[in-house]
Amino acid sequence: MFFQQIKVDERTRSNTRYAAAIWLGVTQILLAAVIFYRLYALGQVDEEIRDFQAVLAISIFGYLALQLFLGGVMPIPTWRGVVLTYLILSGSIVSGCLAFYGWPQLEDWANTWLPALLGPAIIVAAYTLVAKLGQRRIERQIEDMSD
Amino acid sequence: MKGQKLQNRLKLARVESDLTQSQLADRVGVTRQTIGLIEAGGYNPTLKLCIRFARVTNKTLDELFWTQGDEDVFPADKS
Repeated sequence: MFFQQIKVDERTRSNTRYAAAIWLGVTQILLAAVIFYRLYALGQVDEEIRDFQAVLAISIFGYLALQLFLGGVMPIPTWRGVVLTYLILSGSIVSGCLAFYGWPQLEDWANTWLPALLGPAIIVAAYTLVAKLGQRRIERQIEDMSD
Repeated sequence: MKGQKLQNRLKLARVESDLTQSQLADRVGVTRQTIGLIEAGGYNPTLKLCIRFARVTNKTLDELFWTQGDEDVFPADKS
């Protein structure tokens, strides 16, 4: 036997999870640094770094969504709460952008109105879905274990 | 409860059971390093592992593990 078998126990498993979480954060920060470097140091246009932006967004939102889902304790908003949150979010984005950039060209709606109105809708819908599914998962788990 | 350090008498119980760290580690299915860390207070084991320690050393959970401040609540034999 040249190599000793590696023994895995609860402490090493917990360390592995800890290391993975830390290194995920480091990777996300590095990815953000690459995006900023390409944008502002190399002067690349937005279209050239879309792939990096997509990977970073999937990584951050995927991580948060998984945390919320596995935690299963996030409050599920009512329909009224969902609508109100959406209105506040999109309203502040729209009013902020209007104040900063002025009224956009109508033909440029895909780059102006669409992300400002659709973005918050996706965020609110995704949060509600994840919170609902997470709570349902935990409740089912408790029910199954109580039987 | 948060921030309270888990205290243990694992080393004493292990010595009383005439076991080395490696032997105890093999019996409960963890590494020797994990036993060393638990004895030194550097790692809090899961309840599952605590129960295994109690079984192997023939002690109750209460005799093996307690949190700081429990001495006032349960003063019996925590000297």
